[in-house]
Amino acid sequence: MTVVLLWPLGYAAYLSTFDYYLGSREMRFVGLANYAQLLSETRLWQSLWTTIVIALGSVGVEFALGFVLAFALYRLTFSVRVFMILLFLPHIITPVVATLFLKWILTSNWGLVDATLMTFNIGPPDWLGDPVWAKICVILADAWIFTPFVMLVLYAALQALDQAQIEAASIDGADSWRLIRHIILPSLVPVIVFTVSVRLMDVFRFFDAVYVLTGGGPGTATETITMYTYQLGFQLLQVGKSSALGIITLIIVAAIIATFSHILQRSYGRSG
Amino acid sequence: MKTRRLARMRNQTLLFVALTIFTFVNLVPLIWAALTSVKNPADAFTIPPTIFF
Repeated sequence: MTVVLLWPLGYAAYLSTFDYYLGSREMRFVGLANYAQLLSETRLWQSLWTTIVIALGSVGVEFALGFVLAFALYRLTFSVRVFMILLFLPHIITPVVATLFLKWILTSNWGLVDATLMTFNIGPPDWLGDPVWAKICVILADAWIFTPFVMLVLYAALQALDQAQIEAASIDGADSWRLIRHIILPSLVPVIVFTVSVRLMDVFRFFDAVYVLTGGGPGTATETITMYTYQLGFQLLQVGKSSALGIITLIIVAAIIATFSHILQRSYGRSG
Repeated sequence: MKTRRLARMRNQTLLFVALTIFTFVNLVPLIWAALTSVKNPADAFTIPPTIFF
């Protein structure tokens, strides 16, 4: 099992030390030159920055919306299951198909959003053609698909809260805001850290929605680090360089995991 | 006691309405895809957009 799991990783690390174009028979050993070349490229840093912006934006929206929805469902005393199922629907669909639905309604001129705005004589922006709007659309697309996941995890955590403590605070006159701030949020810290870290790791490997929605464009405005890896490997056929970028991404994601597991351990220690 | 029950009922109704509106807006892409799947190609590209035909 370990061999099966580690073989592709080892092979990618091996390929990353070669100057190798897919299709050519020659493989020239270059050591760490691919890494050095990548790290000196503006495009890598730009794609890394885009990834960070999209990751923070989408995880921020997902957490905020997910928490509000989870709390609303927690407070609601009827129809909770119906809402839960309906709100979870976008997450059930394959991300590529879900993103195709969004692309369909965001398409210039004849998409649902543009057509509706034009009916009211409002000139819509070029949602997927403008660099800023394209980034916002990618963030919202990811948030639309993954907010239900965050909502579900937080709702489950809310169910496990100590009800006696909440009731005692309510009897003492604490309003919803104080309950959230002083009792609920501190109790949910381990779950929040876990959810945010899982989503951050996921977003750093984010590819399908960007590929379908914008293809990394306009220009390189929404080119994430995985999209750049794809461009290098499957468009420019620079397999060695693409493998090196894959290893760099792995190191970044591993650093995120290490940081968050450290935070998680500390927060568990504090709450336990 | 009665005031508290009324306030609770009002809060529950507001919560239900807010969740219903959000759920509907959230499902618009899916509803639109389902509606488009039963339209003629010509009806799928009209301005203003048509719901059925």
